[in-house]
Amino acid sequence: MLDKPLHLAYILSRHRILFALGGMLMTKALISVTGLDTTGIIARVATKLADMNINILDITQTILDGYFTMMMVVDLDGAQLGFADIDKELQTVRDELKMSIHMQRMDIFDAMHRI
Amino acid sequence: MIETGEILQTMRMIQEENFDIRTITLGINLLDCADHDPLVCAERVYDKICRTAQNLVSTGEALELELGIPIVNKRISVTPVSLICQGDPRPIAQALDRAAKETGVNFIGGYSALMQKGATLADERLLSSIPEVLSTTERLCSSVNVASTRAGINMNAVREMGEIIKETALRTAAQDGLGCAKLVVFANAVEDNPFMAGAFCGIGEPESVINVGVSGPGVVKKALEACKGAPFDTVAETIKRTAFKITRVGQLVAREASQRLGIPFGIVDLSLAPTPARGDSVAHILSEMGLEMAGAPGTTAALALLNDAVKKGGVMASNHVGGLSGAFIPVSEDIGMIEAATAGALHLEKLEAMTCVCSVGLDMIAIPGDTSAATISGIIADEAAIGMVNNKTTAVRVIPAVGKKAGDTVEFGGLLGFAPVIPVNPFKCDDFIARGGRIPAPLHSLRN
Repeated sequence: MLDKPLHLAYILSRHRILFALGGMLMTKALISVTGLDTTGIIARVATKLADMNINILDITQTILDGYFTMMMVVDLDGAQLGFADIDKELQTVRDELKMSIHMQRMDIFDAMHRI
Repeated sequence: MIETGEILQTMRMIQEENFDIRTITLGINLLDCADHDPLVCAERVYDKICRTAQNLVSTGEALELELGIPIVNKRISVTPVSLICQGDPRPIAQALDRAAKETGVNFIGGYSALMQKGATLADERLLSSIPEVLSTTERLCSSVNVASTRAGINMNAVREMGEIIKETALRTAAQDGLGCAKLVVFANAVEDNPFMAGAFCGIGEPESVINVGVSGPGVVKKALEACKGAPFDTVAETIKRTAFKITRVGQLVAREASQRLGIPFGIVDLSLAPTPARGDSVAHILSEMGLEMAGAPGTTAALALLNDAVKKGGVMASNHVGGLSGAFIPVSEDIGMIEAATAGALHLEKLEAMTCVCSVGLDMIAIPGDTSAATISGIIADEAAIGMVNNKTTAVRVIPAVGKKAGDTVEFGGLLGFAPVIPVNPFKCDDFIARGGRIPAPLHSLRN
């Protein structure tokens, strides 16, 4: 009887370790979108990313004086396309929205700002 | 989780403060290309370089896109050619230049000889070919090591190099002596320097190796703008932290490039290397520290602090730091240095003092075209002595501006920049240089 809770706890803790490992091994990228505010920016970008099977992990967004800035942390692991091809796909969104969309891997930020 | 402020700081560094990876340099061992027939050797050299470096430029470009940081140059360094050449070295020079063009790199370094104690026959052949080679190739860089702390100064080589620099300037006079911008005379040359023109792949290096040079004088200056009036402790700490961040990116790029190319990672050179672009100047860092202009009293102290703080910050950021790793003071490649020299604030003598506390020597300095070979040799001897006694690398890369005198300007273009011709002490050292022989190694070289 006493074994069951311990057994469950053991399994849960194994899963937590795997989730944590999964987090470390994920290929994260930062997508920054800037330009004049217009309707449908988030929808358009998010749809495109979903089409490429790219999961959005975090978003921060602000509008200052009609100028829109959004930063998204995304997971590239699910995407079939390589980095350069993903970047090309984003080009259609850039052209439609007339906004600047810049994508780069998160490694550079991790390298600079974490010991 | 990385915070928004940190992300914006990094992006500002790249977009506004001229932060970039200055070079990915692929070192290639060419010892196995040696052959008694120079043409066979040249072909082997060409083939090996094209094979080994075929993906270098494309990998650099892919990393640039993915990491979002400019990787300005992709370069190659090779084994000092005098070690692989058993006959006429000129076909090898041409092969190196062709290979550079084929692989798409903008410079290839290693047309070099290490003669700190004396010259081999191959060294002599290479030396005498330098003026012709540097005027008939585009991307090849050459270097000669004439002194070391262990061996002393080879004053025969020093005398020869004065003559060779003069002749190279004459042969490339139409381009303001551009040949001399691709020629460096060293004391205590290092085997893993990724920067041109002094890069070569030393014989202690592996079969091939990736070395990375970062650059961020603009970033350091910007960071110091927040410490106006603060004591030097704060200045040093600020530079250290900034150098850490800069070097960390160099380490990331080096590891990635190494992994993709399947070539071992060598070192990150954490030097602050300026460009002529505004906002990318080491001299402006010195001004930001409180000097009216580089060259004013206090310059040597300021540079000493900068050089040391850069090293302390960078060393924590990478597991293998090497190359020259310090602050660079090339006159024509630094808008602040150009301004200081033009204004008369910066003289050759002050530059010489500065070379005692930074990581290069007298670099990219245009001197009057009528400067004698013996005087150039005297300048080399002085730099060699500083390097030898202080157990550091020093170098001379001076460009005699044929037909021009102090106050005129020379123009090289691109990263090599432009520079005012600065005056040289007119008193002679002909008898001194004519003596030849070796200046013995200093006592403290006996460390065993």
